Amino acid sequence: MSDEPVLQYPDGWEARAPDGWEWQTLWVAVEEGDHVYTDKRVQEAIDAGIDPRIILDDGLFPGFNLQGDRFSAQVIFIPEMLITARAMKAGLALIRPLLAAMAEKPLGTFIIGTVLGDMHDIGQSIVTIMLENAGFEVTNLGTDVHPDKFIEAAATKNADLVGFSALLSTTVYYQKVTIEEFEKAGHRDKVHILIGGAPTSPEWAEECGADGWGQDAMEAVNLARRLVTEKRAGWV
Amino acid sequence: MKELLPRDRFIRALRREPVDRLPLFYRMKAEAKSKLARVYGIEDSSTGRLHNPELELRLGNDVVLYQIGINADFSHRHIEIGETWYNHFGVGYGKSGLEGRTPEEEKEFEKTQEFWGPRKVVPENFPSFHPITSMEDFKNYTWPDPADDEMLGPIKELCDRYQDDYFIMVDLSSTLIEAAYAHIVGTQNFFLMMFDQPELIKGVLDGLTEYYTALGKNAIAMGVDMIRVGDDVGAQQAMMISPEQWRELAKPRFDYMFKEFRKANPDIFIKLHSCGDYSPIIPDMIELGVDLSGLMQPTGGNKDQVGLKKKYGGDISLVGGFDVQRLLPRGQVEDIRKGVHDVIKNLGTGGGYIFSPSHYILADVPIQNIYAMLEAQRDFSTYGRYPLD
Repeated sequence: MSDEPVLQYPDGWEARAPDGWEWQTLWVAVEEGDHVYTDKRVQEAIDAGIDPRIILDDGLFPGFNLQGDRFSAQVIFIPEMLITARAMKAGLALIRPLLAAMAEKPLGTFIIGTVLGDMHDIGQSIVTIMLENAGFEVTNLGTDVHPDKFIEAAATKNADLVGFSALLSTTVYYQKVTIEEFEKAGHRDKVHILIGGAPTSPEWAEECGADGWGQDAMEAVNLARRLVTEKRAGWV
Repeated sequence: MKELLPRDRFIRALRREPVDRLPLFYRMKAEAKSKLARVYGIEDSSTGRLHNPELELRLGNDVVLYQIGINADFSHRHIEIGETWYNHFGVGYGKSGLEGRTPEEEKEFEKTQEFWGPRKVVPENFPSFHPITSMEDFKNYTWPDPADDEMLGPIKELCDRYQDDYFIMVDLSSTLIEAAYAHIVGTQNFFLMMFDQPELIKGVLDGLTEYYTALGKNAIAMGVDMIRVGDDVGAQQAMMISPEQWRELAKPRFDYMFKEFRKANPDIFIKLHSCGDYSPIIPDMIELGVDLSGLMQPTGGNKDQVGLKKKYGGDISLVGGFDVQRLLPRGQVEDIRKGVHDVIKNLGTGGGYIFSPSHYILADVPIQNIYAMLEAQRDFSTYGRYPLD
């Protein structure tokens, strides 16, 4: 297929790496979900004194973005996405403390969970991993989450975004209820609310008063990125 | 055409022969079934393995279903708050949606169920304990007894009572990939173990194959007409695993299972079900000699019903396809009539189709929507009168 996703080389990466350094093996390791090699190579990069932001952008993201695009295009499926996410996570675990020490703020704070009554978690756990890998600080409240817990977590964490998943036609109703509870608690205009899950649709997102809807994990991440940027622009 | 017996009607649809009207296959969860049963004056509205099929037959079902296997008992049984209930596989199940629910609230909630969608959350039972998460668990694991009389015993009674008129379908429920990920090992574990511990995954799938092959053969020996195999490998927009992985992990095991079934009875009908989008493996189902595929959730790759029917309708019969995610619970009466009309036109043209919602009718479906569906299906499903071409 001509429109099959291909690796996007980070422009000018050679100039940002020490002489003789190569990222190729790390791109492939993340792409193939080799978390052992990813851990090893990221540590080597840190030891070589490469800026953790460069490790993230030039070393980890190319393979991760490639698999994310392939997942959206249905070239790869859940198992491959999960092992890539696990490799990405191994690399991030090493550089996250360094980024924090450099006072690098997360892209945004995201509270996620499956609504009350619903125990489905595979979709929202993939979205969680993708959001974390994209630079968000994510609190996953798990499944069967009472609206009060969403509100409490959003307030405590000063969250930018909250996402509710629902996988049953009988539980999507609680996406609306949870949004109403945010309104009653006076917290609705402090957060962007995203919804997702099999029985949901852009029309339902609008009807229940959400700020956005994602068809898949990659769309959710892109939407979250856009919304935090808009919100930040609004603050300035 | 003169009126056919339900079982003949069903069998003719499986053979893609003309029928007097489309065969029907309705399944309901407890909340939906009890509100509809009250309207029909039927007192016993039990669901699950030992359910009373009276209501379903009144609605026009041509089939009597008996569900055994891994999720036969958990999804329909009452599980107490905080309780973990273990089935014969040693899988534990808990209940969702209970925070803040009191017995008084429960009563109020039941009242609102009569005509409206849920004002409160409908509790669902979900797997919460997975018995095999390591090679050590696997080595110590004992598979259940496929000759268990408690499971198999009622089949004889069902056949004696209904088989003269109705088609008898034994549902093995989640059988292979789904039984492994959703119940035995846990979803995320399963997908990661496909790479980390492929031998463990193969071992679990082999154990399931042996158990279900024996269980199915025991049911076939009791004279049932069809074995239904459920195995959810479709997500909303795509398959969960790649078609290639399915061909490697599932297809040869189903091939073995179905061949064994046919050794026990060469005329046994086989249905293979998956939720979600599984359209890439429909050709494989045809290769495996599957007679009936469904329930065809009309989303993602299954959306092009006309295309699917055109491509595969000559080789496999189809069931379902009427949207239960949005249309049935939330549609207006006119939308529902149009939806029923369209799915019958899309999938019924040329025969080989059994009308059914794309899954259970759930608690949130207003009763007027159920009526709209029943009425539309009566209006549009008479072969010969409805212009099926």
